[in-house]
Amino acid sequence: MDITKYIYKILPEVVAEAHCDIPCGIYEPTPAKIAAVTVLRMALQINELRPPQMPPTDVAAMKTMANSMARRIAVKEQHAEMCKRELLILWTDFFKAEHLEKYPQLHDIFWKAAKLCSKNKQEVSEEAARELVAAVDEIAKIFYEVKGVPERYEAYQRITEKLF
Amino acid sequence: MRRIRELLKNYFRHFLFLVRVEGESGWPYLAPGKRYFASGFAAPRAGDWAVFENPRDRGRILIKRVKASAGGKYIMEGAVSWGSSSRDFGLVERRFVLGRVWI
Repeated sequence: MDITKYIYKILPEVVAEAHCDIPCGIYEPTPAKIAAVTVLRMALQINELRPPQMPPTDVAAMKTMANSMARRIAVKEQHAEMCKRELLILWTDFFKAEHLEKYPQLHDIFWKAAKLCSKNKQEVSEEAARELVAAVDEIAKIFYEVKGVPERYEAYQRITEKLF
Repeated sequence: MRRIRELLKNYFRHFLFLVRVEGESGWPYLAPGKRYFASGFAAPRAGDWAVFENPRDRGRILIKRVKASAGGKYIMEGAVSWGSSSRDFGLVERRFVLGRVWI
């Protein structure tokens, strides 16, 4: 038997943590908020768009209407997806198992927020968009508390509320 | 054979033991998953790597480099700026130190 292997086998062993205690990346809920607010803005604008008179006789007006609608739907779809991706990054990369002890509802909050992203893709709903914005704010509040800088939530709110 | 192994383990518990590193904050000095020899008889000095109980959370074993020591207390630091250090968990008393690690 290899003597080194035998030594490794007989000696007691402890496991020492050398984890990166501070996340290596830069994490921030603001991109998710920007995406959520964009979804809300698109929902409001889509609701404002009015179709040309029926039956449509003006082809140019019809095309303009279709183009305006399609662009807003595309932006809403993209930003709902962006919002979901940003939330998933916070959920899976930033938050750690120990945060669940203080925030046992964390998984449920993220799961519902991700579901709201999907709902906003499926529907044109001001109510669903506002729910998504509120869900992102709720996550942001927890995020800054976990980071130990709860006062930054107010700064986040001040900045993101001016986006609209 | 098993009994002898247990006896040897107890005998060597402080004299010589292995430390398996989990995580990469000690890189490039410590490789994750690798096992290193450590001894509880050798008091770590400045510049040495030490394995110790986290004074703020006794259940967690940490491995850090000794920045300085005085009066039986140690200032610990990580190899990278984003790892925890004595700034986070305070000075580490000698009784929390399991041993010096040879890398």
